[in-house]
Amino acid sequence: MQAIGRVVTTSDAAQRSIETFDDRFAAVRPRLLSICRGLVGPALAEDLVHDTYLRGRGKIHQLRDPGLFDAWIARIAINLCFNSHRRSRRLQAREIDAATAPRVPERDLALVELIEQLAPRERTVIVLHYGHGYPVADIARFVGVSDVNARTILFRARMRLGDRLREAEQ
Amino acid sequence: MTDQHADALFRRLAAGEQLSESDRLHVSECRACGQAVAEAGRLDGRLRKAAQFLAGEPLPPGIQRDLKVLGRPPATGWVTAGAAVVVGVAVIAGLALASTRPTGDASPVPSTSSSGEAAPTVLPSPDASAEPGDFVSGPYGCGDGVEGFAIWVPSGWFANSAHDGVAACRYVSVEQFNLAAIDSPDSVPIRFNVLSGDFGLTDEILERRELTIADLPALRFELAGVDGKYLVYVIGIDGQLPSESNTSRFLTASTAAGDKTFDRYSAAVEEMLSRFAVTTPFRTPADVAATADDLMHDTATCTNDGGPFVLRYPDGWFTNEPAGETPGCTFFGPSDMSGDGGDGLPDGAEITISVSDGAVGSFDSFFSFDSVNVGGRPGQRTETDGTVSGDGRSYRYVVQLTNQIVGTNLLAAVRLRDATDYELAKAVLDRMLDTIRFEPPSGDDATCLASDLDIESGRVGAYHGHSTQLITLTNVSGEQCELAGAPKMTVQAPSGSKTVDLGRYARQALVIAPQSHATILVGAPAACSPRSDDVADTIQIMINQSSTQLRDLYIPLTCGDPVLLLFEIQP
Repeated sequence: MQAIGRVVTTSDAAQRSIETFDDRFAAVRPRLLSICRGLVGPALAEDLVHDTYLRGRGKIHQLRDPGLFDAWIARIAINLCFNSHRRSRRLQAREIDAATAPRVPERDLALVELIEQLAPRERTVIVLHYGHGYPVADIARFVGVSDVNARTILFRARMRLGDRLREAEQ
Repeated sequence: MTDQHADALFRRLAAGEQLSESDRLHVSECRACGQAVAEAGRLDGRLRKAAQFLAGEPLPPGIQRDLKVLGRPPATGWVTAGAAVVVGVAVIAGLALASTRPTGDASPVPSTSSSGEAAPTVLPSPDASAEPGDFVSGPYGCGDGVEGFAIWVPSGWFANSAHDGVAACRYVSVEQFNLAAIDSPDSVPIRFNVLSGDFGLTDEILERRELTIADLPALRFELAGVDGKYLVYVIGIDGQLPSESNTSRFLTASTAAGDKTFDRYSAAVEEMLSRFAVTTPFRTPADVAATADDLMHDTATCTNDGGPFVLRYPDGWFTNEPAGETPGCTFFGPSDMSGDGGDGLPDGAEITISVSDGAVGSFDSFFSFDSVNVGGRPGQRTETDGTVSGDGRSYRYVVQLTNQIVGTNLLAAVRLRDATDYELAKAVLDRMLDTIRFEPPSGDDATCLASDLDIESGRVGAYHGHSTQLITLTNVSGEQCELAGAPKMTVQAPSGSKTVDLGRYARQALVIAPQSHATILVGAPAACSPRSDDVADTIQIMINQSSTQLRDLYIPLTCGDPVLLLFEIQP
């Protein structure tokens, strides 16, 4: 008789999670891409969604309720968008979708372009607050900064936008 | 100067400042400043329009609630240690759970046991393929097959079916509900969740009790939430309460917050937990395969002299030593095989691998029947119900060690009655047989010599995209003989000599009866561009150090090197 070594076991739940992650991510990817485009622009969105995939796959075991996958993965994406200034300050003007652009008055289109020129952190906070309607406190929690910091980023961005808007319109 | 004032005022307002009394006075006398104030007032509206344009897709429901994003119970404010999310100003209540053990002096509410009459009547888990709107209505013993627990759903309550990765019995409501629509957990009054690691509470604890539920340590909290009072149970379903020093799973059962609903929901939760039990989680075939792969990650090797064969088995498992007529490396199992388990098997043996002579068959009904190749030998793998044989459900391999069914066979089997984990034992057997090596060639047959075989070229043809040349070996010795594998062969072409790739047939043994024929089908890829005229017309066949040459063949090599396509006994 012999008994040598150690029987390794794995977490059934974790294994299942990883196996289903790719499928679920594929389903939510277009939505993430759209969200990230809005937050940081098309130039960075693809890369950030890919980073979201990598980050999510590595952390899927932290998601205790698979029913909340979409919210969980979107949150990771938002965080990455918010922090994308660390990887690149390169910003490009957003290419306005021809089908959508006419719905926006020309004057607001100018503001859209000004928002697109903001740094990713400022742009993320502006879009989350004004575009998605989240209170500053919620945004602070999304992106992992204090309420005060989030509020500072928001008002600094507002001030910058206001300055440029007045400059452009005068 | 006025414009500068206006710009400065606009910037201050845009930055979130409010108009002061002196600002108001100034604005009343400054037209540009008044316009700046108006512009600042319109800025929010303009920003909203522009940002909505940029927002693209709406965010998934639920993201606005940090607690829910990590799958925590509704409106309770759980904080899991190590989680990336910081929930506002969390008031960790200093539970010091790491060092806390249930004292048992608190009155157990509910006082239940995993045995006896309080045990749940667990019906099959609600269908995992159910539609989102599917639910089960109480009274029902509702089982979560993923995490392995069961609760009681009282009459008048509804629990969700498993759907799209959400386990069954996680949401319980007095109303029928649609699982896909549960974006706000507050709409479901009672929710169950399984977490692991440490935890803290963000709300004020009104009451904390230690108790046991189904013999498991548990905690009962009454908490004061923003929306009112609520109840939370924590049950250490792995046998211990959560703490910083373990990663054990724990079940939470929580009610929605509300002073008016507290008594009703609390009573319901306690009724649900009155028949709480830990169950065996179900597994998918992928789970079983992964476990078997893990087991076979570290292996030991043993030799069965009766085969003879050599194989690898899980390093943490046991096998038998030779005893009497039973060779070693016959029985395998995860526990020590001491003592007689009856039925000819040692106690603890879950897998049996042996060699026997004679025909093998079964009158049992088949669940499955597959042709397989084990260690280069053909065979069959079956799963039978075992009602006729009396063996019960069994998973067997029959591998021909000679080229005849009525000959020597390797038999490998797992019986449901012997295995503590039948599916896992099957998966381990599959992997063990992937490692089997028969050596030296089985049986008592003499090795075929070149002089025993008459070698002839046959027809030229095509097979699976290859141009082919048939070669026939006929045993003319008068005695059965065996080839341990396909003979080495070299073809001669204008471009030079090339060795025939034997592939999997290099170790395929063939026993050739007197006057029987073995087929060798040599080929080379048939289609390519451009073409040339490199055609082999001679082949050198090596049989036991003796070389035989055949001429006047046709093996075009213009599209690739020669390969052995078939090596078998002619029927």
